[in-house]
Amino acid sequence: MSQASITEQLATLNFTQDLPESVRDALAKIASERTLAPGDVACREGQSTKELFLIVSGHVGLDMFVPGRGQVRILTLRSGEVLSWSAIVGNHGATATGTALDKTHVIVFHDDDLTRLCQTNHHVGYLVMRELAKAISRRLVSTRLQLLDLFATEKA
Amino acid sequence: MSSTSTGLPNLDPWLAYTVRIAAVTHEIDDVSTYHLKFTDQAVADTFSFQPGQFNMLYLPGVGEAAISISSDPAKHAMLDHTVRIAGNVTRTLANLEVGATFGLRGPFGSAWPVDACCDRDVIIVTGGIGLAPLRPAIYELLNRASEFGQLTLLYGARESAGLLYTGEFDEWRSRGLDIHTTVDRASGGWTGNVGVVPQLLDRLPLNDPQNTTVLCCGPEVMMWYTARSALGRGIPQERVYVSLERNMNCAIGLCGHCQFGPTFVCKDGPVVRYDCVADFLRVEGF
Amino acid sequence: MTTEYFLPKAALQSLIDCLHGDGFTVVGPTVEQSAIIYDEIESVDALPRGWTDRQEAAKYRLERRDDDSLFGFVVGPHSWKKYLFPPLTTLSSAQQSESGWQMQTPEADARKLAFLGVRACELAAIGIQDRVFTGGPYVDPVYNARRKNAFIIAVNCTQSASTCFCRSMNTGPRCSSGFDLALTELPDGFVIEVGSDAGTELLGRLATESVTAEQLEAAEQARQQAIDQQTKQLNTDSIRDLLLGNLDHPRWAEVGAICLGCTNCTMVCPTCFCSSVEDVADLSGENVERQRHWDSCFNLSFSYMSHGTARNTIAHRYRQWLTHKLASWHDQFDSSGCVGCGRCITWCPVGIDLTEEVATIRGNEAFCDLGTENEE
Ligand SMILES: Cc1cc2nc3c(=O)[nH]c(=O)nc-3n(C[C@H](O)[C@H](O)[C@H](O)COP(=O)(O)OP(=O)(O)OC[C@H]3O[C@@H](n4cnc5c(N)ncnc54)[C@H](O)[C@@H]3O)c2cc1C
Ligand code: SF4
Ligand code: SF4
Repeated sequence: MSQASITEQLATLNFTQDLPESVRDALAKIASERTLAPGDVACREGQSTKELFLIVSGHVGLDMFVPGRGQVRILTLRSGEVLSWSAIVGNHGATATGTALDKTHVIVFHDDDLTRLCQTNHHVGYLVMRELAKAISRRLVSTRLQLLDLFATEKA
Repeated sequence: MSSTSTGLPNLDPWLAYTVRIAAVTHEIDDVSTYHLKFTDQAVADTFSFQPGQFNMLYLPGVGEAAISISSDPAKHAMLDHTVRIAGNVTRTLANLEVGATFGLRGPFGSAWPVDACCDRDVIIVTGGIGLAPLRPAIYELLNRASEFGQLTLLYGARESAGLLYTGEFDEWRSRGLDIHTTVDRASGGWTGNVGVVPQLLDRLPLNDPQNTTVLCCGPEVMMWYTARSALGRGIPQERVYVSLERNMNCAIGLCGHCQFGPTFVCKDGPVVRYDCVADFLRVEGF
Repeated sequence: MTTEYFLPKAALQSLIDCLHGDGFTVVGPTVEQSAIIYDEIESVDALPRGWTDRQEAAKYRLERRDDDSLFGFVVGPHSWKKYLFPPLTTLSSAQQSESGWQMQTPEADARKLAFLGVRACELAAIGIQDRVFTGGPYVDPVYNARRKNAFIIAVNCTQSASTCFCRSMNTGPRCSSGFDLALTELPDGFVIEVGSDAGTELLGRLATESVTAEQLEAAEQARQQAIDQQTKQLNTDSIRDLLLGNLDHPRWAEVGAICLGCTNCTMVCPTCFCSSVEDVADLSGENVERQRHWDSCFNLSFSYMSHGTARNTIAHRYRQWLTHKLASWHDQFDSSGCVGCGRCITWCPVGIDLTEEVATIRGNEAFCDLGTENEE
């Protein structure tokens, strides 16, 4: 698959669509593409992860292991969302297991390349980190809402 | 406030009509749909309602409860109410047999702005039993599907066992409703989406946010985050509608219980435009 | 200019008699349990002749006057709402029969009430409750039936209590509309104004005299006294936005810590209309009545929902009361919900004064503005 198609895809994805074109081009240069088959594991809880994924299509389930309960699904990710942010900001230890639920197309950034790009070009670095922070903050809000267990005593 | 209040269905707004339970559908744990018929044919012939309106169900000797109408406004044979057991009235109702009678006052309150959705995309965002007051809107939107753009339902529950009306989803899909479900907690073989409802909206591809209407019913926190997400996606705040809940005693704006700032939830609501209540939704204890 | 007449004091009884003759139940002020309350009266002797009331925050005391005035006081703990919007009413009944439950409306209360001694602030309060109970999409049949029949004889105040602030609320002390007849009391009689055809008709049957310039002048002076004596004020400028824009003001917590949540203020307020309906069944359970009783936004249960109570603390409930009364009432009914009668100040056991609460919120806001300018 060509670089041009990655650039095009970045222009449509929630995570990257608001970035300036030059920044998307810089990102496209260090990105690769991959297709996950249902059941493929993109990152595994507790294990080192060096890749950050941007989901283009398909779904990825995030599971955490709870002794006595097994794998518990905590979130489903879909197009436009980041997977495995720990690769960039989390000391490389994956906090959950990400498993493709169907045929899932992803854009992949290697930590070394992305970190190097961000460090050498702070403009890109700032914008990428800001998008990452926004994505993580959205995830945090959702997690809080989940924590509130709003439908435990619910209303119509 | 927002939509219409219908005129007086009954000259004495305190007087309840008699209804008989014609059938009961068990939906999920603690939730059943009661299919009601008026005992007086003249009432049955004239009673009409708009999607989003509610009735006061009156169990003599026990009390009244505000319950949304959950049936198709175009069908007059039966009036459906989907009720969750919450306390005295709803528990007593759950113990009644088919054939039993009780009282009903209504219809009360404002309606979902179905007509204002013409030529627009409509996204229904709701959770748990919040789908009950939206089901009449879904029926009406699907009955007139050609008048609207894309119709989408984003529906969440605590667990998959808390999703209502799932038996109708295939039919709704076949008639043009794009349905996305999600649960807060995955359990027992659920392979669908996990995560909270507002997140579904965060990710939904939108054709034309400026011309999209959001109809939302659920706990206040959920509605607030849904509205935030909608606004973040470029949907104008005057096209976001929420359905409020407050203590409901008279349902006719005379008892004071249901006030939410300037809004009487019973007659100005329950369906209100988000921008009319946005300032108050996150004020503690208001 | 309305035409005015003079009714000698001795002829007041004939007014009551005429009303009785027309089938009215006459309600007026009378002394009971050390307060001037409203009750059914048969004769002028029931009126509080020679009594006055002394009021301040949390204080109410009857004192002897040095004259024989019949209306020489302001307002007491009662208001006319207890007649138009009764504290306890049956709204409907239900009977279990072979064909199931049948619901019925009770016989309409056809009683004709005549109110004697309605003050300007109370006329305004009745006007406000008219809008609440009969001005919306749903008309309350109980209020409507009583209100339609009511005959109102207003009395102009000739003094103000320290708790009165009707001038700030533009409701008094002069009675300007909403009455059938309006009296101004002089030592030997009343200057009477007519406010309706029914008033004219009734007056025609009384032994009135034509009024003299001196009497008119004396009445004017008496009314001026009420204006001059009034000291309490409430600044209503942009009050809606002031209160609704300060929902997180620290003052709510402060007043919430003092307020007992006793509901007195809402019970004595002539405009408060909150109520609850409950079922009362006989022993068989087959005959049930739906009864409405006065309720209050100060009660915890008032905002109960099965998944949680909306207003959990007294601070939340005080804020609800004040913001409803002075702010959201404007959105709902196009007027303030307060007529400045001062009852809530007098009858609050801990002396909370709504005018002070508003002033504090207003003052602190101004202070905050200054504060940013003078930031060190
Ligand atoms: C506009 C509106 C629409 C609703 N639609 C539905 C629906 O479609 N399905 C459904 O299951 N529920 C619905 N509810 C919630 C339902 O009204 C309450 O669950 C029900 O009143 C509980 O009554 P109860 O006697 O069983 O509970 P209890 O906890 O025993 O309630 C005691 C009393 O509180 C009073 N009360 C007044 N308002 C409420 C309230 N909002 N919540 C709880 N108690 C209240 C009732 O008079 C009740 O008798 C709706 C509420 C509103 C305001
Ligand atoms: S709020 Fe107080 S002063 Fe105002 S009308 Fe009510 S009782 Fe009178
Ligand atoms: S303000 Fe005063 S009268 Fe009103 S509830 Fe509080 S303590 Fe009682």
